[in-house]
Amino acid sequence: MIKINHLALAAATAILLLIVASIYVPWWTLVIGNPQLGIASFSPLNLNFQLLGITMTTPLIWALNTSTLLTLLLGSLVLLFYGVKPDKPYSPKLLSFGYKIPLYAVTLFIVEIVGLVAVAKMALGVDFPLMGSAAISFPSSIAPAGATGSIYVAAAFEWPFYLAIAVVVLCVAARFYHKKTVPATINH
Amino acid sequence: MLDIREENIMQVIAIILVLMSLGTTIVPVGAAVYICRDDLSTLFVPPEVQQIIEGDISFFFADNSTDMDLSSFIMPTYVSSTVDEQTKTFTVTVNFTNPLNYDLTLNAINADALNQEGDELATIQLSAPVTILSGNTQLVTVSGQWNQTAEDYFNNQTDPDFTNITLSNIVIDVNGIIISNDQSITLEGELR
Repeated sequence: MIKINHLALAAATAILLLIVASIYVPWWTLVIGNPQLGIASFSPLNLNFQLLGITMTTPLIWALNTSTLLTLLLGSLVLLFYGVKPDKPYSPKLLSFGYKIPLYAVTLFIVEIVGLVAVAKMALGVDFPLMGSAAISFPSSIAPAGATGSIYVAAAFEWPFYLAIAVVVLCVAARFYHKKTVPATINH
Repeated sequence: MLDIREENIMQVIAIILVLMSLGTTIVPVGAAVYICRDDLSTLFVPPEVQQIIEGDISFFFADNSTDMDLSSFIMPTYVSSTVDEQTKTFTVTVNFTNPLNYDLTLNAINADALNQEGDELATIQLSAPVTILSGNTQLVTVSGQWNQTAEDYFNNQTDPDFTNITLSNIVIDVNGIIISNDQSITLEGELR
């Protein structure tokens, strides 16, 4: 009987879907203004900031996004290869490599977003919401004389973020399913 | 037990995975460094931010003007006004110019008109949000309603004018940027 790790195949396919989705839809957005004056779109694969219609991207961020995209693609291909040959002696190595990549991507993303919001609060005194909307007061130093100002912001996690979490769950499940699929003698 | 051939395959796979992991990071970062080799600061700072740091924000303006004058937006010009004594309402029409390269929406303008004693005479508000297209000028009409205190105030004056009126609780909302002026503004010039 041919052994196949179906969960690994599903995880590999889901990673490919996640890659395609993340190119077009960010994982988290912060909309500034109503109607919007600026928008910050974050995902490990695509990070950009738009202010008054001008998109601002740094080449280094672009490079890191591309790196994440390629790493996820590599993880997906490795899992795909492992999924159809889970009982080969080298398969645990492939699984061990592949299943962790989405986990790293999601963990890093959460750390970055939470860190960014915390840094904004500590350095600028600006309390951006992670989810939901808020009116953020201008620091008194930049408010017009005799006036107080605030700006409407709205933040939301978009559906690819939840897809990414589902992908991580699938990858971890594939790791545990490996023990059922393959005899313990070649489990590493 | 794994034979030597299988162990070799595993080692090769391990090496390939490490090399590919390194490659997926080194190649894009290396490409970015190569593209920005003439000025490595552009690797970290977007060109637009570089321009802002150098004091050039002309790309935000509709005509790429170097004369970055936001005062035409902040200080609208008076166009006309109407008064309806029966309903105790009035309208004031002003010109707003949007010098930016981006459409702006005036969501709200609210203010209270007070006399010298601080009594509320009228309330002023924007009837509906107005979008001012990039680089265009738009007529904006604010409406208001005066109360009995206002009528008594002006009836008791021999030569009523509006120079003693102050605007208080001024709130302006442009694209969700809300500016509230805590200080009152005394109207200059007659609006009869």
